Amino acid sequence: MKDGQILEHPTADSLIIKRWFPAPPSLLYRLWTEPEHLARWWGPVGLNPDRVVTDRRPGGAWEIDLTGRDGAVYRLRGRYLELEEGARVVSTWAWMGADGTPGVESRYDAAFVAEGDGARLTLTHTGLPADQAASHGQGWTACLDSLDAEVSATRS
Amino acid sequence: MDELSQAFTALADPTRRAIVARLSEGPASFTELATPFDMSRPAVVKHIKALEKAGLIDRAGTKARPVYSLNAAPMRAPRDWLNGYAEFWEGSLDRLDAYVREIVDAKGGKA
Repeated sequence: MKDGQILEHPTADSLIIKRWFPAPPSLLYRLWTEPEHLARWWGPVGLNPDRVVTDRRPGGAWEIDLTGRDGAVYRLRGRYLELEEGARVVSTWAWMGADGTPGVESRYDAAFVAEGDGARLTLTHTGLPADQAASHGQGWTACLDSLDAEVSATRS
Repeated sequence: MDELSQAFTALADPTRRAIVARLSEGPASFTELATPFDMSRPAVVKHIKALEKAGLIDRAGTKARPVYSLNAAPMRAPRDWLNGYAEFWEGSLDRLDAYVREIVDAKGGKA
């Protein structure tokens, strides 16, 4: 765990991360929504955001293509559900399969609140592919859809 | 290779994914699994063996008349699945933190 970062799994299909940054909410909001900034940090080390497009209005679509070390491209797509200037981004999230169809759609909510000399991010990501071990059928289909998209992405 | 990576690798084939999809509806005999595919028996056997090896499917019944079913255990990788997203975010936020500090330093210490 990083300094000041909290990671929780309130349910089997969601996570919450809380982390403080030495920047005001307005700056965090810009870094989170503007392509020239997103290209500088989106994705973990090893996944490079080579292409970033954002249509910053409610209902607007965004696209981020990430290139892995082996050259594989992972395409992430989403739609802004809510945009509160300087304060909050709520969006859908889906990985694209190699055939161009989206995988399971989840949703994240990033809120920036002033705290001390900076701001705290509260990131909630819900609707994630969950543990469906208890049941077959529908649970498996959901798992397979996600795996399908993920595996297809690794092969693209 | 960890369990989830094995599952991924095994499922990196449309035939195997189709087999798993069929078994998600319930157990099946070899014939029931093989019928939809335009391939030789040995080819289907190979796919089924790969899925068994990855621990994704179980075999019951007799040697002559096996019955295959889905094994939920490898999919019980909730931590792995969630950790995939957690890792994505943690990694991203580490980079965001570094970027923020770069900006702040460039501005002379105050964002």
